[in-house]
Amino acid sequence: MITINCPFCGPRDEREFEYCGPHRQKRPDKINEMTTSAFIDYLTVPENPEGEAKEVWWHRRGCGAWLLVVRNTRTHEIIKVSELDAT
Amino acid sequence: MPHKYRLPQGGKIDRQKPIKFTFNGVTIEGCQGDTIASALLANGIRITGRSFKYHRPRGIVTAGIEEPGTFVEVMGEGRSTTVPATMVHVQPEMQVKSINCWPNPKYDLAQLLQVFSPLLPSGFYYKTFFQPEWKVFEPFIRKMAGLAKIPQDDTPLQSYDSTDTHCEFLIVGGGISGIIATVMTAQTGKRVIWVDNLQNQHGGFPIASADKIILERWLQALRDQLKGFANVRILKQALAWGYREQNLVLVNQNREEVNDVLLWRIRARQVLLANGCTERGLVFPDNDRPGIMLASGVMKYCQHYAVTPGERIILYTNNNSIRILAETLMGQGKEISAIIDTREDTGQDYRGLPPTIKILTGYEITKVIGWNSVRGLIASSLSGDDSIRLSCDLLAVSGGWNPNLQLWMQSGGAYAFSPETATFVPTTSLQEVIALGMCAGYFNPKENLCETRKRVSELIENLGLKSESLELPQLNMSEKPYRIQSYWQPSSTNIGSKSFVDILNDVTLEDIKLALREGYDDIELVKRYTTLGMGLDQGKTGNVNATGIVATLSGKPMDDVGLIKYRSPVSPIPFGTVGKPEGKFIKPYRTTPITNWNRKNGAVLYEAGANWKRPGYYLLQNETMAEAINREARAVRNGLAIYDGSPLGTFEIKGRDAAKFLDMIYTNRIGDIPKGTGRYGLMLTEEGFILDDGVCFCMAENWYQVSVSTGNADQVHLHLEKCLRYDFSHLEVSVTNLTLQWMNATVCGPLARDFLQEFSLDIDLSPEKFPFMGIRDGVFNGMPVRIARVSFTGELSFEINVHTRYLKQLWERLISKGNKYGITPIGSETNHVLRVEKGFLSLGHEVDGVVDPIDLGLGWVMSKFKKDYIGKKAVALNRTSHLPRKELVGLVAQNNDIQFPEGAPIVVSKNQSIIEGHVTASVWSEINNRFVALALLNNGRSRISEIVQVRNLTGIEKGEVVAPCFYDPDGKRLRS
Amino acid sequence: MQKYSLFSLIRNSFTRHRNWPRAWKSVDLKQSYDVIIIGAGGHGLATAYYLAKNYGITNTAVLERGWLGGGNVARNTVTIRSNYLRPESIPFFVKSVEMYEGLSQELNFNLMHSRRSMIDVIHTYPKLREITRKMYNMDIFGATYKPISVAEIRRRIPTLTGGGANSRLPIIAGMVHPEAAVNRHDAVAWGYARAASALGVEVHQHTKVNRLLKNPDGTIKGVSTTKGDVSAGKVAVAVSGHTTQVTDTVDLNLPLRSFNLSAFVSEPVKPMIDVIVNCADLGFYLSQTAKGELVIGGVPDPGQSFRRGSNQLIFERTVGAMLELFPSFKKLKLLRQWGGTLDTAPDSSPIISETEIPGLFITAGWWGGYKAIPAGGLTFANLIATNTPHHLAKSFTLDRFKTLDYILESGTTARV
Ligand SMILES: Cc1cc2nc3c(=O)[nH]c(=O)nc-3n(C[C@H](O)[C@H](O)[C@H](O)COP(=O)(O)OP(=O)(O)OC[C@H]3O[C@@H](n4cnc5c(N)ncnc54)[C@H](O)[C@@H]3O)c2cc1C
Ligand SMILES: [Zn+2]
Repeated sequence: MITINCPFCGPRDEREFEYCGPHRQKRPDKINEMTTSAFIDYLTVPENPEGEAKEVWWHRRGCGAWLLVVRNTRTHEIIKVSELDAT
Repeated sequence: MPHKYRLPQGGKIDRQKPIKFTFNGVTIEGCQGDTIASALLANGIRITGRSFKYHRPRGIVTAGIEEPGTFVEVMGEGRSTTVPATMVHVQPEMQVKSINCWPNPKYDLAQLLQVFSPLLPSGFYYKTFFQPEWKVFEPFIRKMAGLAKIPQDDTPLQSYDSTDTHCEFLIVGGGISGIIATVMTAQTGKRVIWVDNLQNQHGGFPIASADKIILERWLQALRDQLKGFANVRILKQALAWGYREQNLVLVNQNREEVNDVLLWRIRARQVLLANGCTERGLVFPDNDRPGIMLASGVMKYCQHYAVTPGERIILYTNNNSIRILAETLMGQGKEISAIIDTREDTGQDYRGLPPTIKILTGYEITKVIGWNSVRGLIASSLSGDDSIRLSCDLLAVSGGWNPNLQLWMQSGGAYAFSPETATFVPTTSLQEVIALGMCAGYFNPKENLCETRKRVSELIENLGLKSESLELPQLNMSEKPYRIQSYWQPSSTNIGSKSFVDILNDVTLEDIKLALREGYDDIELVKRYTTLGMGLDQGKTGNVNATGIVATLSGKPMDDVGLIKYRSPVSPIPFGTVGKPEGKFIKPYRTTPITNWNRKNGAVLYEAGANWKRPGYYLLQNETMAEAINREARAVRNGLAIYDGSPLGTFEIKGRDAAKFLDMIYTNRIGDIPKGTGRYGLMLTEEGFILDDGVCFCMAENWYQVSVSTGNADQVHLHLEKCLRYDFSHLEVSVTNLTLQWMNATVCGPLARDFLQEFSLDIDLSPEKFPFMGIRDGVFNGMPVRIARVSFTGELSFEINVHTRYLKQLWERLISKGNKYGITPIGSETNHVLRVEKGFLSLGHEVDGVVDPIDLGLGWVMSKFKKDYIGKKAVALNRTSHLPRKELVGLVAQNNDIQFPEGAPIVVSKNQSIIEGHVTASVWSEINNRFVALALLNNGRSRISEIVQVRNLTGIEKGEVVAPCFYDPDGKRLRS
Repeated sequence: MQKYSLFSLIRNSFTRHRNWPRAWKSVDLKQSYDVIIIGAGGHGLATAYYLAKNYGITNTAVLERGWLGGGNVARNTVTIRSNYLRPESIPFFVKSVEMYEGLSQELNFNLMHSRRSMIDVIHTYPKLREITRKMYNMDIFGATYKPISVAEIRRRIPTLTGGGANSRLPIIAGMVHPEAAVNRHDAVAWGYARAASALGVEVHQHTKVNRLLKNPDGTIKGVSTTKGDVSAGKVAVAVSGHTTQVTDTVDLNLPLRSFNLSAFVSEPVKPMIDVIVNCADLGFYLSQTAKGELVIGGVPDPGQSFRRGSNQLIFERTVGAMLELFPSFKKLKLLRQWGGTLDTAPDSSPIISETEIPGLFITAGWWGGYKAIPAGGLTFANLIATNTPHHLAKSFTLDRFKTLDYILESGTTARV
């Protein structure tokens, strides 16, 4: 059970959030022009670091913000939380 | 004679308040304040249980949660499962029973098993019992296993609750360092929580009595001082049992006043572990005989419970902490006949003790005399040239002290062997936590005081906070440092005796040797092969000895061998404290304003996804389920029906780029939907899976409303949000979930229009003005409504949406006026039948994770004009695969009486295990007067009129492939 | 290999068990082998055994970073079953369950393998539908799933007193899977290690693979370990949750994500449940060991993780779900809890495959992979020895991702 420090609401319990997968590259604009293997990697190969991982959490039962959470997968320490900036 | 071993005065028990309880049926008298263990010891009861594997007689060993010797069951009302006798206070009329024995611990029948003990070395069961088969032996083994029975009575004598909190400083431990840390951190003015831990209430490292008095007075003053701090919360009678990530500490507090256990989830910025130390035993032959106890246990029974369970006492040690016990016992007028110390060089440690005490240094115990209880021993010099026989009825043992590393280990902290203290001490931490005092390996009280003060003030300083300096008391008797010399195993053992390393799990020195001999050479392999440290006590008094033994035998340094990992919880805790049976509240269900009406009118309600409870069908008197569904289906097809469609997911999409956004979300064109109409659409995931099907309405420019399947609403919401915030964050769109704002009553059937025209309504319902897929806002009998012409049944239907507060009123109006049309409320089962007749898809049935829209005959929903939408590329890629496509078809049995079972596979032949499809839905179609089914079939669309074989558990049924629509294929009725 | 039997036990008792030989040999690490298997877990050891037994490949080293069998094989809840949905999966798991049944005799090591029916307790219609479909498909491949009534569930599990008509989610149906079994996890690792060692396989503990090594032509060369470099013509990765940690060193892109799954046991109590109870709707399952402990498991933690621990939230939900059906367990005590690092592919099905690096093979994505150890070892050994997938595992190669032909065992879309 972790606490996530929502930039808008402050530290909140995991129960308020929904995990929405590992952070990935934003959907390429020209997805049609991607090669098949690049497309498959984009779809199926996540970053899987033992250490700092970037992941996306939705403050679903809170302010509704989408957050980019940098979390250490070995210790579960949260290093950084920011609003998801998908640019 | 009761209380034979009770001291005439002293102790913290109330001699004026005797308490009678039974132990294996025999009435025993203890006092208020006694534990079961202290009461038994006071009464001279030695054999209190039997061991798990060999059924050897066992007695009480310690006075705390580390107890490895005596476990009991408390029977009767408020039954417990297995608990250490040292942790339960006696109560009037309590019935206590020993475990692992029958009929009682003294005359246990299974002790005959001891004869076989040569056949039962560690891991013996891996080597045998499998010829011919394990299952022949298993029932017998299972019978022997297990401790108590599970309490069957549900008497909620103790209740459970939980709460969350947070603080700056969390101090675990009520001893010296715990109090110091609490007072010092309290002065910072920050929030402090102090867990007066049950774990170190067994006494801990002994302190000379003169110093003890000084110290206790000083500590009391500090405690008093704490009362003035509003920022300190004290949790008494509590056990910190779990340490999770991000400094989350779990504490169970026994609140006797309200008779409950409260689970605290405490999130602390900084944790200070001051949870003390535990004494370990020594390994020597037959060191498990009743009457052999840990020195700390003897000390606590003497001081706290005024019990000294022996007259002729011998002390056995490898360290100088035992001297204080000698003095304490002598202070109570007890006679110590000898002190046996394995150290050759004991320095000044025993100077000044009376000459009546025989001091044997450089001696070890090589034999214990007595079977049911210790009667004497043989001590031999380590050099091997002398041995001496001594008699005793109590042997107090100290093998040294171990910091209580359980929580530290759980926090992820590292630890290392310290040769000076011959034990493992904490080193670097992983989280924001420090260990203090005895828990950090500072056993000597003086050292403990100084080091604790130093560490806490450093911590406070590092955090940029302030606290006053703390004056420490003078402890003159504690000048001498703690001295110990490792002694892990006897230099020789004789046949027929057993030297226990783990008393609770019956693991001996020989067992460890065997494990190493056979190659189980890692400490964790030793643990698993021998079951060492895997009992209820998690080896609190034995594990360090095991490491010492393995290190000695394998010639490895202690640090390379390491410690057996302690796992959460520190000590067993009842499941009731961590999870609650929540009955109706486990996943609180959603209701619509007419749920009560439904209940009163015969609805059979059940879970319908997304936590909605919903009518499956309405039972009239004397009706079967099938009859009810058929009646409802007839009403829709021939007359007038009404359906509570409120749980349908509804989202509003607004903004300048709404159309653009939806054009990415849906496979079909959205941008060109005319205002006031809707379009059926499909949402895919990027991998090409069908996420949802539903209808998207254009309300006005840049304003859309989409409806999605009930069970899927949450997932679709997540998908829409994720797309919006992530991949299309450049678009100016907002998504609002209106599922609970718009409720609806869906009126359907050929009479629907005529019926609705009877109401005052400012919408023209004629098919020309309000065609299929239209949506209109208006006022219906004074209620603002939004009516949509969608149909999930294939029949003319009007979905009348109103604000939640109007639904009941709307529903009742419709019902009362509809009576003359025979208006029939219908449930989801009927809906299912009707949609199958029409071949409309249902996510839970036809969408299988292998099909795409084209397979389902919905290729037309995949826009060819749009360059891109979510899932487009994936579907195209997947179609390059060589696997055959599973396509949606209809299926009718050749034999009219047959209903294909839902889920049944379609096979190529009876005896071949090739599956070419399966039945996705199968219903009685009232209108067709036969069973009809939908199926997914390899290349099914090109196989219409072929005969296929459906396999059920009894055989094959043949069916004909037909188009997946059994009613009104042109859709005339739903457009009417 | 010295035979284990009651007779040898008696004979050895005369010498006070001082003459038992090592269960597996301890030798120095050589510089080169025919095959290197990374990870001495269930899959790694079984693979080594079948390589030696079925293909005569004995010049094999199994390299383990910790102690033998210290990964998930020692941390799992030993539920062995073949109730799968897809025809790609069922025959594989049926084979595995079958192989387990004779394995004690084959390995001459008591795995304490015990058939226990698994009873699925069903609360919702979608779940019932899914399980019914499994029933029909399993029947084709000789596995059994039998519907039972709610009353029958209660008769066979008397302590299951919750889930009644007035509860939030009343039990609506049940299904029995008689082939399901439990056994002793450590014994599986040790039994395979001992049998493989007897055939000449070397097991090296405390030998962590830091890096994979490639030849200039792009083929596999060997591995770099904490005890030096070792070369081999074929390298097989069987490291469970840590696959990408190994394959990242040669920049392989694999569709794997690691996560933590936890479990816990109660104090030992007298026998009261002799089946495996599975309740997918509420999210927990349990069985009772020969020692009397209840072993309880639930759903994985959210998010990626390499921290073997217990998420308090998941733990509390799992306990809550259990108490919903077994209210009398509230006084029962938690004895120990732990977690393990597993990895999963997007479709949650396993991967037994060659890779784009010739000579490098992986077995991964095992998150219910204890039951799969015998068949997993058998088919992986076949792939390594012959360079062609075993017919039982031909759908589990990496190729399926090239056309997105996912093998979805539950749910209808991939994981988030
Ligand atoms: C709590 C829990 C419950 C489970 N319950 C079940 C169940 O009931 N039924 C079921 O079928 N499955 C279950 N599983 C899953 C099952 O345990 C795993 O799928 C299976 O054990 C994985 O295969 P393995 O035995 O080879 O893995 P492991 O035993 O994990 O073996 C992998 C080995 O590789 C080693 N390794 C890793 N990196 C390196 C390196 N760089 N160099 C050298 N060695 C390395 C590890 O130390 C480890 O020993 C459960 C898992 C968990 C965690
Ligand atoms: Zn927030």
